[in-house]
Amino acid sequence: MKVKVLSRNPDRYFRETKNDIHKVPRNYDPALHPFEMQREYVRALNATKLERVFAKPFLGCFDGHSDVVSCLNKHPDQLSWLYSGAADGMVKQWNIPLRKCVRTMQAHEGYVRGMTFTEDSETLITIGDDKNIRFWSSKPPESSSEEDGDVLPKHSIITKYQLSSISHHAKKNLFATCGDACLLWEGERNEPINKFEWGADTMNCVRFNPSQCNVLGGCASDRSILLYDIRGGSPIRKVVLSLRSNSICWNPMEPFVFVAANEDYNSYMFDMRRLKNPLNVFKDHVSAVIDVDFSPTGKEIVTGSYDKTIRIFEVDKGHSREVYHTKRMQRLTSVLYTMDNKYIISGSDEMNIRIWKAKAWEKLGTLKTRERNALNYNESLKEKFAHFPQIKRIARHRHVPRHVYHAKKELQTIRDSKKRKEDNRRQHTKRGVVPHVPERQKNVVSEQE
Amino acid sequence: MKKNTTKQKFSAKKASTNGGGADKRRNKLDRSKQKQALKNGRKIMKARKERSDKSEEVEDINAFSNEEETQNEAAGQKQVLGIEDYDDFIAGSEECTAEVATEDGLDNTALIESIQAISSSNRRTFKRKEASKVVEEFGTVKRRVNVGDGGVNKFLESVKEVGETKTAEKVAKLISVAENSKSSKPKSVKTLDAPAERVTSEKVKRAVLYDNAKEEVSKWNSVVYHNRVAEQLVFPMSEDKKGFKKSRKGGAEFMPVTPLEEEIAKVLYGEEYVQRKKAEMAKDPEKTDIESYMLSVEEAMATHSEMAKLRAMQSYAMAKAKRQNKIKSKKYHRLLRKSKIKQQMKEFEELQTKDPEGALLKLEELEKSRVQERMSLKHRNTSKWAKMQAARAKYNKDSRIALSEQLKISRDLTQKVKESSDEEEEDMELPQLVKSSAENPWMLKPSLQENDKLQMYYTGYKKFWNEYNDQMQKQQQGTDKKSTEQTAKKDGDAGEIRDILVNDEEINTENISDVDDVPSNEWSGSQTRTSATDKKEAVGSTEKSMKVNPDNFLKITKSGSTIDPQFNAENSQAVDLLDDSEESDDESESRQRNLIAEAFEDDDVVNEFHKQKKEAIDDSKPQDIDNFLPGWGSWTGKDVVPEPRRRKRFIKKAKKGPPRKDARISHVIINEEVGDKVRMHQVKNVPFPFTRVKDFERTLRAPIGRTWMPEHAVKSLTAPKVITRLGATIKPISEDVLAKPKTKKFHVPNTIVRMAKVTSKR
Repeated sequence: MKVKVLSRNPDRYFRETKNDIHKVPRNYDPALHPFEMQREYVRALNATKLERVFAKPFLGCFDGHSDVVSCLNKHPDQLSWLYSGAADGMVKQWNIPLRKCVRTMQAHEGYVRGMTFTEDSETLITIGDDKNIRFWSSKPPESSSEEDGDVLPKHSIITKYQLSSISHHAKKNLFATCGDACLLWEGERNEPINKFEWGADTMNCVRFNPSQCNVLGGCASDRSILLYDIRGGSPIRKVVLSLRSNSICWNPMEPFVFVAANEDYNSYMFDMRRLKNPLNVFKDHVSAVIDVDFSPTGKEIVTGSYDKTIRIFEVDKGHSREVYHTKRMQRLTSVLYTMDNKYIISGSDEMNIRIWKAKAWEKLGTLKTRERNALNYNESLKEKFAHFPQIKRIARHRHVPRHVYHAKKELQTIRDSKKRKEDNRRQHTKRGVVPHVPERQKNVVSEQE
Repeated sequence: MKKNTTKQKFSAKKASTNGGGADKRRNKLDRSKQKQALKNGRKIMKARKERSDKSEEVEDINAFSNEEETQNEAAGQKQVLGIEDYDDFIAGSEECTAEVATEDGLDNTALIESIQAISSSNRRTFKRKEASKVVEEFGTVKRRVNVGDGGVNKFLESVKEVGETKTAEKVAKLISVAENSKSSKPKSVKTLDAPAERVTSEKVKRAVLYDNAKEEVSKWNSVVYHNRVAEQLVFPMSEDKKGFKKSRKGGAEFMPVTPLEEEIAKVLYGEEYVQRKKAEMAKDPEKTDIESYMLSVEEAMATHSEMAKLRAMQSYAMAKAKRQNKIKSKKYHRLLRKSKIKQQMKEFEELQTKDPEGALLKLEELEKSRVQERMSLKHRNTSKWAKMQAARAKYNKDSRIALSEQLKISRDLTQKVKESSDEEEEDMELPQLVKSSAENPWMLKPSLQENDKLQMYYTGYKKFWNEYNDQMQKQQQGTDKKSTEQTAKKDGDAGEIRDILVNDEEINTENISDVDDVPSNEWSGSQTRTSATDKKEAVGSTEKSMKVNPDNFLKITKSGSTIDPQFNAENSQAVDLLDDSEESDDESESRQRNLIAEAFEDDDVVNEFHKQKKEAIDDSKPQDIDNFLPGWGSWTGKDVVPEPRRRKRFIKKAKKGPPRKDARISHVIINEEVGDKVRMHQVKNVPFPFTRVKDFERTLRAPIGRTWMPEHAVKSLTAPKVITRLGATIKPISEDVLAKPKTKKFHVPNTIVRMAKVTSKR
């Protein structure tokens, strides 16, 4: 016969000093802790509600520009440095933690169209409507005189081309601009070393792939998205969508994936090897998507739209997980995900730059272990019970501006009616005449060799 | 040449300006002439093209005998190409340019004339006949070597002059052969296709480049896939991957270290080499260090795998031992031991038949080990219990006493074993006796089979046991009452159960369990007794004083197979006791029932229930909606009673709902409305990634909180999918993460390097 005697080592419960904390044994017998699912459900519900309570995404704004903020750029190494260009040719450098402008440069006359960093991130290259390419030191000034706008460029190139976008090679001293054609420049040489042409339309965006460095993507006003291989010195592929794409961005963690912000209110994620079928279509905006940026982890994208909202999409989902807006924020011109995956920065028409949390309910700063554990537990509970209707409802609930709300309704109506019509047509014609086109392929017109 | 071109350009310009207003008409005329010429030229071009297409002859520009045609063509070309181009086209004939340059002040006609003056012999071909890397549109670079124009002959002559007549002859022969073959079958030479149009060629280029880019970008596939399916990603991803330190001079450099190696090196490379190497080594002692000549990849791989295997085996063994050690059940360990013994017995039997001598030796060993087992003793304060007591001894006097007692017992035991020599002698004698007998001692001495041996063992044990008890008795005589009780038990006398119970209450439990294993049987006996008495008390039957031999209980529980005849009677008594208690149970139950019936005699539960059910049904029935408004369509007032018929018209009858679930079950009320509140918390459909309800429910069933799960499980269950470090930039993925070719990629673990160092030092 087995005899069980309760016997404990007194070393375990007699404390030598007051500060000795003993491990308390715990009985995990399920009979003692019943209703685990029910209790966890309630916890998940509470966690979801708390998430909404703590969702305060807006952190602050940088005001100082006196015209539309036309472009934003993040420093590739320094988290605290932000660069912004405006429609009056001003370029400002900001210190994000201090929320202060540290340098102002009259970089161009007229619009500043784009900015990029050299591969060593020492130099900032800007382009503007004055057909100049200018090179600046990316570091903040030492003397106070530079803050007042007396900064001179390191170098400047006057071109004969209209330039609309610029992107720098990740490893070599090469950069690409686009406008009438896509041009490849080397260092500070006055003439481009290569000119890529395919069709006659102007291009509005060009981006180097950060990992597969020889690949260059761009989008043109003939509704196409183009890929270039700078080694081969030629464009390689073109995909035409039903409307123009405004901007593209490469996934920093998946080098063959890029996302394009389109005029048709959607963003399209492509695998560059299969351009005919987009990997995903991100729907939710109610107006043209102007700019898009990948999170540095490659798991999310942020889009800025003409409908005055910023949306965050998870890469594997079709609808946004978050929508940011303020009463005063106007049309977005550019959005950025900061390099630490924590913040989102947006520039908009009303001259302001705003900084947001990427996770609206996240607590900033360092967390204590217990706090972090509790938050982790809450997160996994939310994930576990995400399909439950109440939790889903609460987690999804967002207030949006009135115009967005109504536009969304309207769009839904339009979509429904289109679908209905198609269904009717399908019903009353021969089988196969009205084919079922997958939602992802609907807006891809053609892929051209 | 360039100079000439500019000159000509200048002259042409002058020609046009010098014409003046009066000359305009003439100019016009000239222009018309020019046009005509251009037309002719084009025609000729066309014709030529056709001709060339039709007949695949090798054409020389000399073949154009028609002077006029050439001129016209030249003019046409000029018009098309512009002057500069044309100048290039007529490729450096100095005569021509000189002529043009001198003719200042001529207009277009003059120019044409000048062009006409170009001798046809100076023109070169611009038709492609062979493949070449450099394709010039107008053949400006390549000069045709005309075999006939004496170049080769000159060369031959020069060769002859040098004195190499033989080679000259050979070359001449070759040339003649070549000419002959050329003239004999001119039609076999084919012209190449014209290069594809720009649009097509670019398309092809793009397609090829795209395929290449696709292939190249696919190298990221595995990395991307791994990142996508990873349970957890930590950013920034670790980039400081140290590669394998390469040797400075590669594997080619061999350093003889040991004398054997030296000898081999002497044989292979000679003495000088060895001397030189030694000198080098003396100069550069660092080279002897293992790091300077690293393991080859294969070697390192092999050692690594070997180490891994060893480690794995070790860890398996450890894990197994740990698992087995963890099992607390004494029963399990007993069984384990028994099974081991059984196994050994089996082996032993096999050995008996196969190798009797070996079996005997083995038996000896076994015997010895058994003796040692007895001597190694559990009473040495090494058991878990003893350790616990030791920990407690700091605070508790009793445990201190218990421990010391234990030690005493152990001392006594060991002494006893030494003293009782007679049994040992018997054991020792056995193998000798057997050895002396014939081939198989087992066949000869059946009495000494295993049963007997076991019997012997048990009897010996019993003897020891009795002795031990006697000793205990002596020790504790007169000091404690309970000890006398116990000794009485041991002697086989029956103790009264109630007394024991009383005593048990007095006995310190710890004292009882003091004597670790053997007396614990006692303890278990008392346990059974107490439980029995408990039952008895609960039933509340008459208090019988029972005479039970506790040793017999012990026997039942311990070894069911060995039953004393004496015990059987006692046992039946014990069973009687249990039966009694059951009987009394039934009795009490019926009494209880009667009592309840009495107590609730007046309550009509059944009717009450029916009433309740009726109410529930009425409540759940959908209600009619009364839309009647007094005064609507009729008079109303204090004394006006509306017509019931009229009123009835406004009553909207409720629809009859589905039948109640408990409609046919009279003794049950099923509340169908209670689900509504819960329903909004319930999932209606199986959500997307799942296809079956079962799968979905499985994910929900297991809790993840620390209320239900141990800490480490909670940690792994709630681990976030993406972890980012505060204030760290996350760089785009770089090619460092890609798998490199095997030879480069391999990284020798530090442990192996360390081991190699150690071995090399030896």
